[in-house]
Amino acid sequence: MKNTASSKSQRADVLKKRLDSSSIRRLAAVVIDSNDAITVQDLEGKISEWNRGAERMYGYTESEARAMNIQDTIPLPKRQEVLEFIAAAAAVPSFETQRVTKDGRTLDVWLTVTKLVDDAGKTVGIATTERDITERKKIQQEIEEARLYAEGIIETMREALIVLSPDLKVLSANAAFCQIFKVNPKETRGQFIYDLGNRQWDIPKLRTLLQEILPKKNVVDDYEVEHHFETIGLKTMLLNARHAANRQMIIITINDITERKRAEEEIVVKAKELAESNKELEEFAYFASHDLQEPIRKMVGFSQLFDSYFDGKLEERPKEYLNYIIDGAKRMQLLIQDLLQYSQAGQVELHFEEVDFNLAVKEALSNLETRIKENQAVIIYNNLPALKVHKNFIISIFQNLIGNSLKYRSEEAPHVEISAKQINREWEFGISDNGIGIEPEFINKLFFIFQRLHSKSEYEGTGIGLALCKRLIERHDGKIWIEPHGGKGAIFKFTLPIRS
Amino acid sequence: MTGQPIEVLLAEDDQGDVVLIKESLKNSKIVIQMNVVKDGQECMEYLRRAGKYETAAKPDLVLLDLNMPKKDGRQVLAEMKMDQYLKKIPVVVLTTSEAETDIAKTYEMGANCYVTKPVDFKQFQKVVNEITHFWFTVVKLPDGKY
Repeated sequence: MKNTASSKSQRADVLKKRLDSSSIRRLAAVVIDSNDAITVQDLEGKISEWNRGAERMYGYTESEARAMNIQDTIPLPKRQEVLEFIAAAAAVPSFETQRVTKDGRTLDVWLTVTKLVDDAGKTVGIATTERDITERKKIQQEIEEARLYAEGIIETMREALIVLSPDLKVLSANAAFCQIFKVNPKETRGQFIYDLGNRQWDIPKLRTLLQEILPKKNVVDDYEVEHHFETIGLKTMLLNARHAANRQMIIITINDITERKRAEEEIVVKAKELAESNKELEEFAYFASHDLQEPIRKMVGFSQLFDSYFDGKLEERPKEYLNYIIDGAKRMQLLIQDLLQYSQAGQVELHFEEVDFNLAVKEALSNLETRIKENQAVIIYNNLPALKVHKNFIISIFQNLIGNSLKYRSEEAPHVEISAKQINREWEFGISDNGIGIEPEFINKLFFIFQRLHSKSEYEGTGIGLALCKRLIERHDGKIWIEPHGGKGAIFKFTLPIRS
Repeated sequence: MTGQPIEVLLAEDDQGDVVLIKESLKNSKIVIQMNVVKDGQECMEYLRRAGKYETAAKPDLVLLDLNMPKKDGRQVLAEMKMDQYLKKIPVVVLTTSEAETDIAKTYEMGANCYVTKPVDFKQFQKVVNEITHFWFTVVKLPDGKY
């Protein structure tokens, strides 16, 4: 039956005829107690009926309301609405509008208006049913905002995202998806996932995921798929997939890791190249040490044989020349040996182990035994710590520094003291002697390779010792320096971090 | 053994080193008969008295260079130690670097001792003489035919 104005009033007439006093009282009770606001007004807006719902909604009591005009509850812009409807002969459909409460709040209401006519059929007033839909509107707005927010995220995100219905048809594909996989957005919705991009998405591994794995789980993460697409080439992708909305949706995000994989593979290649290059360098260093020694040996050996052939009968000048040859060759050998040691200090792979420094010093001293005896040197050390270090490097460091103290001695017998103290996460070692010391202005020069402050006729050596120490210490992430001080001799200090 | 010259087999491919070694032993108090082979293959032939070395004398000492063509010192040593007669002959390995010395030091190679060819000739002389002095006056060498 159609709900037209005439049929509505016909039904009303029929209903009214059936009313007796008890049913009238019942109906009145329903109206009065209704949660919705139900009011009756005359054509001028004077309120004659005001139910409990109206009291609750508006805050005006019934007695207050009867003294009011309905216009007081209608915000200005809306005042014409009802009047227009009343003026029109047609019935008023329900509509959304706004009203103002006693304490000044604006409500969103759903309004139903009924014309009241007298027995003669003349409109004498209206009855309204008003429902407070403020809360509902608020919730609707929040839902809309949430929807826009989600949409915004999906369209802004840089990862490809695609949403499928349970029967694997595309519900939506985000901008990133269309861009990365070069798919026309208009051609995505409603398509089978496998049909996308002209069946480029018919991928066996994808089928496995969607038809075998995902039905049994709620979430699948880091599913790797490698596929050669016709239009975009080989892609390696990581997929995250999950059911959503009560299994009414399947959400899939796709992370294109093709570039990352390529970079990873390149790193492996580069690392291999680096290892090979290092190996070549080590082989070169070995060659330098080993094969270059032999011709030097010949030079020295035969120069000396040459000398002894003449059995002391060589004149002074040729003998002097010969000595220079021999010296030159010997010096070349030393330099090469030192260079090798220096390069190995940088090349050798570090192997850290717990080393008792008292034992390390002991070994260095045993290597220097002859020179210590010759110089009648006294070396003092005790209670040195144990640290995680590369053992041979540490022995070399002490050997070099103590050796220097012996070499650059003063007239007194060399007296060397080795000390150690812990400062936070480091140990600081000190080696002090009573030798000839170092002039302050030359301190910085010393740590450079082959730099020396004295000629080789005064003190032998290639000048590599300190540069070597510096390198060995720096490979431990430590520091070495010369401590300026007032007295005689030199004080070398170096630090080593404590390793776990 | 007294009265007879000491037979030394020198396995060395480098001519220069041969001269240096020979010169170093010249002033030795012990009379040494130096026999030289120039590679590992010849060395084994000499020891086995094969081919042209039919009449070779048994060496009282072998000075063995590690790096030789055809067969190197390591291989010679290995073969000597596998032979029940040859393994009794003392071998001094001549090395040219610390690295090699480290290798030779692992007596897994079976050398009796090693010497690094030093740069200084006088040093070299001293070393070679010490070796010969050690082996021939101090150590009692195993006697007998082979």
